[in-house]
Amino acid sequence: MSATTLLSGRGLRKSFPVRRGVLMLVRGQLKALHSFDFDIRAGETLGVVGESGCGKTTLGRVLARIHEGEGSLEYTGRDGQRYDALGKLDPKRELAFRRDVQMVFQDPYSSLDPRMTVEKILLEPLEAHGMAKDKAAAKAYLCELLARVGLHADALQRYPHEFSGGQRQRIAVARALALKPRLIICDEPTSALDVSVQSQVINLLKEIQEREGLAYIFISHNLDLVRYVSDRIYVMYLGRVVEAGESELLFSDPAHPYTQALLRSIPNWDPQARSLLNAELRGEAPSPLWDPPGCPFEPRCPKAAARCRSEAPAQRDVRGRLVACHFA
Amino acid sequence: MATLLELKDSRTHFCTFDGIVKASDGVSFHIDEGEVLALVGESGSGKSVTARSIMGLYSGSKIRQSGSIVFKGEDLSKANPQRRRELRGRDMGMIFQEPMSAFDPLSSISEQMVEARLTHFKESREEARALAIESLRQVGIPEPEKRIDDYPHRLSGGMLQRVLISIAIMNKPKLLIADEPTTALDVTIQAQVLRLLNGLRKEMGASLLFITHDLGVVAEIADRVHVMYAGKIVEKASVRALFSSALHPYSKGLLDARVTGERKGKPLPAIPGSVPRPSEIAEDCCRFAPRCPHAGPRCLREEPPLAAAPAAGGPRNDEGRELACWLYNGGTE
Repeated sequence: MSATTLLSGRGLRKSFPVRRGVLMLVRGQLKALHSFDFDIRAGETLGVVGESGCGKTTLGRVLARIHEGEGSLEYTGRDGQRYDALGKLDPKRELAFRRDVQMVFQDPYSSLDPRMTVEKILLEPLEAHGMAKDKAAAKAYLCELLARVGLHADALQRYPHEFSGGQRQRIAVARALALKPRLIICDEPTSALDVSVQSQVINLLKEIQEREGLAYIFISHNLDLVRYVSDRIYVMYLGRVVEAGESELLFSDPAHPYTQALLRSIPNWDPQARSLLNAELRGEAPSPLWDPPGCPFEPRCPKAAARCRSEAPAQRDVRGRLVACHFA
Repeated sequence: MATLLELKDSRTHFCTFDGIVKASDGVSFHIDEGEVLALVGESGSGKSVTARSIMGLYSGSKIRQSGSIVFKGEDLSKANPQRRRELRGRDMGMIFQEPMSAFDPLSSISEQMVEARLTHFKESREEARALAIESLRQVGIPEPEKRIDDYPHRLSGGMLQRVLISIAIMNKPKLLIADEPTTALDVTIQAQVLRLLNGLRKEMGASLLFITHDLGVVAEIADRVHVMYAGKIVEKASVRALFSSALHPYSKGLLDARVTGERKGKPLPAIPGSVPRPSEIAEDCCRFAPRCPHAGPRCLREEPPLAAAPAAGGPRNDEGRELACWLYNGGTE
């Protein structure tokens, strides 16, 4: 594939100040994201997996410029020009970037304004970008947009509470599509939905991608789902990437002990095997406030040795993927 | 094996501004001693309401309940509130879905555990506390003597779920009801909690009613499975029979909707439409008919009863299998 690199991050970081006490003084830094490197090409799906508190949502928000991160994030615009999309941008670029990179949030019950009709919800991004000057054309476009996500045009005059969870998520997808973006960041887009509705939304996202050549960054804790949708996967632990590579490779031959443990924790839907009742991963994910000098997975790792506690493993190439482990 | 709990035509209806919501509408099943029964269904299927009505957590003029709930030979639907209170937390323990909201944030874990013990047993606070510490040790809480004086916010979700389990088992109940106990947890913690729950249940010889929407979890822990949809049970089967050949179109749809890596590049099979809202459930017809690929005229006309699956031509292992579907009961015409 010779598709252009859309977005490429180097050493992306984000920390939040921790305030304590009556005076709410800053007493420390919560490093939600430690030096994250990635590249995403046009039309590709990148999966990000990890347990709660691993920094995957923060990553999505830094990429969408909701949180201001540090490091470098190089974006290739529609005109082929490259620029750093972190920090302050000139207004033109800011607008272009916000148009090109859209987001679909986890909970469609709280991501849509309950006081706005679907028409207003979908029109808002168009107005913000000055693309709704011709009212009749805008309305026709909204109807077309709804049709693309499998909703009827009469939805326009209705309010979010009149729709089921799956339909609401379709509206959220339509809102993200309204500006014809190049990248959509999907943060757990189906975890608030019923099982029977989940696959409808996933099929819709895949369909749209094939038709319009969009790229996705798909953030989820559901490993089966991430494997299904993604071309490449980044496995995160405590704000760091522990393993990254082609999704089939990671699933068929995981190299990092954490990836191995995660895969063993997935129920395999086989009542004869009951593999979960035999699998063993000790302990739980550490507090994001903890910032160890060595490997963050060391306290739970079956392979851990003295070296792991003192020296952070660097990312290196192991059997065709990147792994951060001394023993992989 | 002896039957521990039996529900017959149990109904729980709520009177709301939108009319009567029939959350659980004629549910019958039994649990044997030492058995694990899973109730599976999506939101609004009535599985949690069924569990809460077994515990006796509903009362008031806006709630109508009927049918019988027989526990160890005693009909609980006729028992007075005081008797229900005696059983609750002593003979039946419940584990809730959200460990974060199941605790009182203003009391320490010690106070909440001691209270749960002293409500049912006449003993000193010291004895109760010692038992609570032992119970915390059993569920794998490190340093239970120290942890017990913590307030709930000091513990992680996985740890709180363990504490909740330790409270539920402290009084050695005969029946444990777990309502989506792992839904709010990460996969690695889910595996630990399932293992723990299964181990404790075996050790105590208790029965477990496990409520979930996740079929993957059901495969790991259940002996028998009942699939619920819109307030009714649509299929009863042993866990092996269900996973080797689900018969009801809804159970089939749920099993097919599993996301796997092998499906990559192909669209996922999906059940069309969405789960009906409780106030919009159609009656006098099959409740799944609007989403069913096999629906015929009869499905829209008559509600299918839950009946034994026909043995002839049916799959093996189908002892005790029951279905509420015209496809297996005389046709859909």
